[in-house]
Amino acid sequence: MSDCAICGRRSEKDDLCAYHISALENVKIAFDEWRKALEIDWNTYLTRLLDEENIGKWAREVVEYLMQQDGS
Amino acid sequence: MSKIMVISEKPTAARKLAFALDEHNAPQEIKKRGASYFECLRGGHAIYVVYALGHLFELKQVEKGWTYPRLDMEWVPKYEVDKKATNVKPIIRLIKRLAKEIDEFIIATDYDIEGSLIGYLTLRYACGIDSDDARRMIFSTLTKNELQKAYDEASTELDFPMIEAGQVRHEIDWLYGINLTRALTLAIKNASGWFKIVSTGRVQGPVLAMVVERDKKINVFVPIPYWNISAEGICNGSAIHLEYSRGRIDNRVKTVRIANGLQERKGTVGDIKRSIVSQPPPVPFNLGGLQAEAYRHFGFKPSRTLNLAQTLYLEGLISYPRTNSQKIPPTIDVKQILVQLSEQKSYKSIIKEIIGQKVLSPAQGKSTDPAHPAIHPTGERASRRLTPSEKRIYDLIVRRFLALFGKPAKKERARVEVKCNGHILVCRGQRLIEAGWMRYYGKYVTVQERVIPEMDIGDAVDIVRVDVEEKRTAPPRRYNPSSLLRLLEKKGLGTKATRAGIVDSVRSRGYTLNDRFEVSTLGYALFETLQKYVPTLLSPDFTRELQGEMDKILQGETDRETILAHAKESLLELLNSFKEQEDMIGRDLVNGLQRYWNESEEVGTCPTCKDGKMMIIRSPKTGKRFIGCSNYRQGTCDQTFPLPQKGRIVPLGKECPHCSHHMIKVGSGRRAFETCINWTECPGRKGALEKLEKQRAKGERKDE
Repeated sequence: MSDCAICGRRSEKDDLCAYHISALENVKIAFDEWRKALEIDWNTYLTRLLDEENIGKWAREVVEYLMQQDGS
Repeated sequence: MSKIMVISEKPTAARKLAFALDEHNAPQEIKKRGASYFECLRGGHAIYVVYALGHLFELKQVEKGWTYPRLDMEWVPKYEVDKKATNVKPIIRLIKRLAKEIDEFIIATDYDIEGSLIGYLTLRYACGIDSDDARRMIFSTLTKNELQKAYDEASTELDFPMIEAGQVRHEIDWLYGINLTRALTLAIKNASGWFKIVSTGRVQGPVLAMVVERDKKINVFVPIPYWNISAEGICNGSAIHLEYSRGRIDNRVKTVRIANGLQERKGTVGDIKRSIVSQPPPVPFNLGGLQAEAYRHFGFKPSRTLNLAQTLYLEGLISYPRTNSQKIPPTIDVKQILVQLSEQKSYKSIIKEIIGQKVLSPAQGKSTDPAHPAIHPTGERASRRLTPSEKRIYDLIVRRFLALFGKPAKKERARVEVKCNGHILVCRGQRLIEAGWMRYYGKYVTVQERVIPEMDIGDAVDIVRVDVEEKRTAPPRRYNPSSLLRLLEKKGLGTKATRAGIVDSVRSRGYTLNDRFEVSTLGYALFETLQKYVPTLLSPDFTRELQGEMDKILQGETDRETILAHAKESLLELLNSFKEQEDMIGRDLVNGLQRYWNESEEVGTCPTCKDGKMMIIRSPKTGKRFIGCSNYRQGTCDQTFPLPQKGRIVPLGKECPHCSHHMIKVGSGRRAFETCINWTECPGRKGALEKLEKQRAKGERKDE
């Protein structure tokens, strides 16, 4: 089994550990709410999340990871 | 003339006892080789008041070797286990010597599990006396009257259920603490050769699990936007504050539509609801209640509050603080206490008012404690000037005690609905009609009054301003020392005497980073490993069950031997399962430790080569520490930064606002400051650097 692409813990699925999988799920769930609230697309949503003061540490790391994946 | 030995728990308590018991109020303190005792005369008897220093005896393993399982233990003088406890040796020696001439022994330690055990162990191992021959003084305050009464009416037998409960708690905590810590530490050693003590215990494991669960929720949290609408209106010539009745709105377009619909419109007053709410006086303080209130008002950690309260108790100013009780029983002469307190200027006028009541009946809470009443002042005056912190705790306790005699406070609440263009806005008001007990509690209670003008149904309201506020949902709150302690109390984990220490230990072991209980990588490594291989150790049910069994001893439903045998059996099962998986546990802990060390030594990316990591390094030649690039060994980057040589360095993961270099925290104990790694060159820190250089120069001149 490989390591988590973000933190080096053992990965469970898609190169992510259990914590970052849970954070990714939250990021995806919250997107529905953000889209409903602001009518924005996925990329704008990710960019805006990085400016959020209260976003959790792992959720922020997942957002950065997703943006990096997207950019590469 | 017969000789009586009275054994107290601490030197201060011994002095109080001696002054209370001596007929002439002039006991003699006899000092002998680093220890002392008090000689008094009472009723034709010579009384020797001796003291312990908390526990004089501790548990030690019988069989040698730093391994596990180790299930046999014995009580030995504390200095045999803790090499720093040298002050205990002369005290044990003195008690041993005096005991040879004594005719009767009386235990006068605190009347609770720990106090009873201290008295019993001192009697058994220092005096060498059969506990059946000793008597027990029972008291809740160190006032002269109560101590004299406790002496005259001393029980003819010791409180064996409390002693047994205390003994078995120490034994079980020792068994679990020693064996599990060794199991974890040896797993790491066998896997990597490193000797790093990683500890856990019967209660510490579940506490770590609770802290981690909260930390996880915060770490995966994603905020969601929402909007609030409020408005300012004019009704009958007075300004009123209004809020949109449906609360949060989850869509920006909808919010703007509603706000536009309200802008500069006219509304009418619809429904009006007024109610009188009665708020009864607070309940008397138990330890948890006092700790929570002290944290709220003064920011004192629970352990600090306990220490301060303990000092006030030893000064005879308050009752015994380690109590669960929220009751002031009728046996306590509250009138006498109030009369004595009224001699203090700041309480005089309030107490005059209280004493004027026909019946003095303090409010009572639900929790009880078989050994002690709720925390209350004794009425005695301090014999010395109290420190500011002691004064604060004392005032809080006195004020709470006074508040118990107050009438319920009465508040009027009003809710006025304003209909406007198909929307409903609400105006809420609150005012205090009768302060009641709140006046007695003083600055420790405040009511936020919102006065609204007189309005009638059908009155016109002009909306003059509409405010839209965009907000975000917030993550769960982090624990603080007080809220975590309350949670332990609610979950039945630990005891009133041990909870504050357990809360502190989670941080001091490095499992959390700060007082906000942010879990460190080390904390996660331990949690993950235990969860995977020995989840029982994280379960509150397991330790709560053990706690329940220990409590049964107090009710006389079981005995120490049965509980101890059961605890050993459960522990052996755990250790056997641990042993079978030791390799995997060790490997996982080593991985976690490596991440922890990397994180605590890694400051961030190198600003020069943009590739290496800036690491905290200690020079093998000089022993001095500095920050250097990880690419140094490859010969591709030699960037370094100097570091202060004293204090713990914690990378902060943020950039300097002046020079954009990585920030670090330097600190030891309570003194800590934040700076950047470029602190010698940073334009924002020149002033601080000059000041430091001046201080150094001054120091050097002094040395010359």
